Amino acid sequence: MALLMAIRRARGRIESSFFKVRLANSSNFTFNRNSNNNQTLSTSAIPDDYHRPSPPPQQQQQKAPFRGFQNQGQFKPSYQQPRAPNQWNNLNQGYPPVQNPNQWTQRVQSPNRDQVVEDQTPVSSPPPPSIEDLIRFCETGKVKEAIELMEQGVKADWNCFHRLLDHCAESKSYENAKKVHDLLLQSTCRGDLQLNNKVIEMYGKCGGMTDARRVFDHMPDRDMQSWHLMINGYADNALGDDGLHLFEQMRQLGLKPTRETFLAVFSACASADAVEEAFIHFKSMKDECGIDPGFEHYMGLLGVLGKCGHLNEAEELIEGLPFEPMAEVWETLRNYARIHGDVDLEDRTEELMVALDPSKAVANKIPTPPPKKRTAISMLDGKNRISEFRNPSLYKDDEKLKASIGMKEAGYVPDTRYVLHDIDQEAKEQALLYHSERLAIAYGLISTPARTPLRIIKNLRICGDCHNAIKIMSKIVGRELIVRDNKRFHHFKDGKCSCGDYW
Amino acid sequence: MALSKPIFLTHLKTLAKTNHPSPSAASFISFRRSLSFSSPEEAAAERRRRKRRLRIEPPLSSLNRAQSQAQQSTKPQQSQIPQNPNSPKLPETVSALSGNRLNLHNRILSLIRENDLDEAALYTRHSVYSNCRPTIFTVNSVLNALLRQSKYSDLLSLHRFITQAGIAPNVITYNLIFQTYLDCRKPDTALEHYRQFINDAPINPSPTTYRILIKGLVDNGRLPKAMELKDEIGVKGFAPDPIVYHYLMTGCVRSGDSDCVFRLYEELKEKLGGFVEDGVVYGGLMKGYFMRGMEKEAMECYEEALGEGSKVKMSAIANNSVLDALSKNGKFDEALRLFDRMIGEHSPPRRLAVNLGSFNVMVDGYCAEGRFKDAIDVFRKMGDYRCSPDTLSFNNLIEQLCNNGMLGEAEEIYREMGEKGVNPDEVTYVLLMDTCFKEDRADDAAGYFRKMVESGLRPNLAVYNKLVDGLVKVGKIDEAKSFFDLMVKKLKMDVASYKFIMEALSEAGKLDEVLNVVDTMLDDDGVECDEELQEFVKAELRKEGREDDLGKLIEEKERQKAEAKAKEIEAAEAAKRSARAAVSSLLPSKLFGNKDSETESAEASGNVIEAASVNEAAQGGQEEIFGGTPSIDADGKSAVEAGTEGVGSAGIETNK
Repeated sequence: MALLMAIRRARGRIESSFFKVRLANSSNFTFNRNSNNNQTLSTSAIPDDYHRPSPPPQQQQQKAPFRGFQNQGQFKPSYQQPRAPNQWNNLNQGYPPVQNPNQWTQRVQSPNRDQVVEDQTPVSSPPPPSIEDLIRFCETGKVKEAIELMEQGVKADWNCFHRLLDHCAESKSYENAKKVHDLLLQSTCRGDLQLNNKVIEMYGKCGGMTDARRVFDHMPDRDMQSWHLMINGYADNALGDDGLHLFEQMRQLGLKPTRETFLAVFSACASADAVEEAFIHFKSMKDECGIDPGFEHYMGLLGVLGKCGHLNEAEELIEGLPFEPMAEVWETLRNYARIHGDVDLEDRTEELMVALDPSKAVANKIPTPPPKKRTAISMLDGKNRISEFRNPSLYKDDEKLKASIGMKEAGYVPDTRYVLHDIDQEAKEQALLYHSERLAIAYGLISTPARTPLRIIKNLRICGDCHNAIKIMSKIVGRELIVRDNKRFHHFKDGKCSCGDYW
Repeated sequence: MALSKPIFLTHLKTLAKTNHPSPSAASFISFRRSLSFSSPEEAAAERRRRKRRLRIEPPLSSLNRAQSQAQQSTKPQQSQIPQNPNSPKLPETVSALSGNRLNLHNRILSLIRENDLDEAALYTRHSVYSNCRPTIFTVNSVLNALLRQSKYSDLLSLHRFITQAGIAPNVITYNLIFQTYLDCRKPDTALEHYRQFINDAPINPSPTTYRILIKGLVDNGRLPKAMELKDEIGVKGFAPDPIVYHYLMTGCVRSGDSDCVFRLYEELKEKLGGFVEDGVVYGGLMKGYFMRGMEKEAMECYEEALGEGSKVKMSAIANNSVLDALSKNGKFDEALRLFDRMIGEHSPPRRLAVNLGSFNVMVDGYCAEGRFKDAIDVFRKMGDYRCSPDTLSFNNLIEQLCNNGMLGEAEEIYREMGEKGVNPDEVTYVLLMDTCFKEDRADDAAGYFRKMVESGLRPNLAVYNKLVDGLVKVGKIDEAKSFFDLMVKKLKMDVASYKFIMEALSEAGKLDEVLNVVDTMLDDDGVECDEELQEFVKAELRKEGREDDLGKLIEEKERQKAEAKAKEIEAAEAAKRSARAAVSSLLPSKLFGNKDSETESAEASGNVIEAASVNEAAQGGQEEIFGGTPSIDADGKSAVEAGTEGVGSAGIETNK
């Protein structure tokens, strides 16, 4: 199993290293990737690969200096320190500079020359790419293909970028997002306000708020939309605190928040668990900004309460709404009740919702089981005399029964007889933990759905300690664990093994 | 550049707020903004940040955190702030509930609706060991369902499990745990958990947290502590909550402290700006006036809350407490009028003016007036208003009927319980049993007891004593003995119970059975057959000249016990020997062989084991030898094949 993990690691590394290669020499990308896929990691090659010391990242950096872009983003966030103003306008700004300008211009100028195309894609030779192809790819959402074309030198226009960014946001693929953004930076549209807003939105969707923030900080001019996108992005990525921070900055800069700003702020509050602040902002919206709270603002507040698990308070908010709540409001609360598992509230809100909008009725709904107690409303406080009559503990025979069941669940005690090295007790226990079948099971568990059986194949005989451990594991995880060693199959289920402990 | 300056300043501000500001930072910002919070917003933000800061040391600046949160796989993770592994985790946000985890959530929810809670809890546990860990929301749903069905031990064990599995609890989880402990009448444990929550959790309590705690404390008779907690609410920045005051006022009424009721009301009124819109406190207030004999004021208060053009909003709970105040203080006619009005206003689902509590109050009211027929009628009418009674309200009615000699009606109500699917509890059966004895229906009484035990309920010793006492009184010694035989295996009986049944048996002249009882008593470790009791048995036996029998019996017992003990010791020894042999066989010379020569003999006897285990070790050893060294070649062919192709397993398949 250690081997398997090695495979995965090695694979990850190989892929990332190819990724780097691509960056260094993008024209070879398709070819290299294909060969990589065909090679698919024969098992024998891997252990060696695993034990080979992996090259430190610095080395990579020296080889390919312009890779510094990614590293810089990690080590020195550019927006963190104040810089001289001209630095902001620096074209290179930590982004990959146009690589080998000659090659680039050549490609840009003559994208249709057959010779160049053949050089670049030796495996398959598609018809010479043109802007029409690119537009078609953009229209149909084939982001990968579009990126390849652009890397071959086809120049995209504003519309293409607009669509591409949309598609990247939809597919939530950070890799593609990054590439498209790189390409945008190399294009003439790089300063465009709308496209930059799109980029922020895209990064927000793809979970790259650091990149979004960098774009935001470097934008030559911003509009309210940019601020809203940033705050919303933070909110969506569970970084509501940063969103609220940004809102504070916005006000310090003297920008006047609009209706949409407050919607963004509410969603930031929701993701930061900031119930109290949400209400303060709500108040200041009315008092300081003179904005009359609309339906959407109340829904925003409801979202804050609902997402933070304040369901009772959310219900009270609805009761106190200045307008009669419509089906939509109840539906929202119903959904929050579902999320937080409050069955009674869910039923009540659903009923209210259906009463207002019968089309939303849920077909063949399972009726809720009645609760056992209704102490909250029964008005019979202090009339419960159960403690006078009920035996506080289990009966003797029940206890015995429970004890006999409990015996079977006895915990795991490492059996170090199976470690033959001359090492101290603790080290022996440690050594037992790394037996391959256990690692394989551990990996199998975290990578498969609950209750599916696992099949482990091992070329050595299973040791007694592992046998015991797996028996216990099978009970705890509630799965059938089928382990084949070089003698036989062991079917572990419910704490028992099919071999009857004889193998 | 435009942004960099404000960022820098706020950065410093956050530093300054963390209570260890660098001197330069403090002086730098002092001209901009004083350190005290200039707006409520900042105070709120600070409260929240202080909670979250617990998570990461040193205190985070939001900018660094944005960095560390970037979850891109291509980037090295070196710039992360080292996290304290012991610091509490933040609970997951709602956005975590998507994809597979949302499917799991929905699946568990439908299990809950099918009321298959064991399966729901088990599936949640099993999901922890899979590629789709349950979210805290799923766990909360199961916990909530368990609480709803009063399955407290299952709830606590699941909670313990998720704590161990590292699923961070959110405020709902905490609320459920508080509720559980308070329902179990363990207010101190609940408070202990509350303290831990306040000190360690990275989240803030919700107003509901305080409602739960204060109601629970009041119900558990811990009014002073509840008052303390109420003062804490204000400090935490929550608005005063009329419902909390309602609970406290109820508690004061119960303890007969009318001054406290008025104090609470005045306090709430002042905090809310002179008028309490929520009607929930008026019932308590009226009770306070009634308690002081100020009937006029009480009715004025009633007028204020429910009179024409009143601005007070009356919820079902508010209505009920007013209704209760009226019916318990000789204003039953007024109560009836109010009840009719409530029924008139009741239009579900939008407006709920009556609930189960209203009917319970009315039942009590009618019974106090001696109008039992009406009480039963109003109780049965509940269904028309979509209220369903629980065991407690059935018990309440049955108790009223039983106490007033209406056993027939009570039994009819008991049968209705079965029809409505409400399970009777110990109280129901004991009420019926007692009344049956009173009405000379000992057989029926015994029948109720038997039914109770058979349905898995656990009556305590007092109930058993009542039963045996009743049976012996009417001369049904054999019956009593049969119940003794049934219960002696279950209950931890005391000397008095043993003595009672022995007396009864000897009076009936059944000396063999008396000896039988002594036999069981000697087996029972919980009680000691003392001198006095032995004397008593001897005296009884002497009547028939069999006093030696007791001595024989005791001797016999002691001999048996000694034998059993000897056997136990022998077994333990044997186990020890074999374990030693096994160990020494594996490490023959180095550790054990030289040290104690006495194991030699043991070794000899454990030869067989030795041979076996060496054999075993040789085979298993192949792996050990390679396992420790860097080369994993020996294990090279281990592979996982998941039964279904999961996300991860698919990856493995391709490798082969």
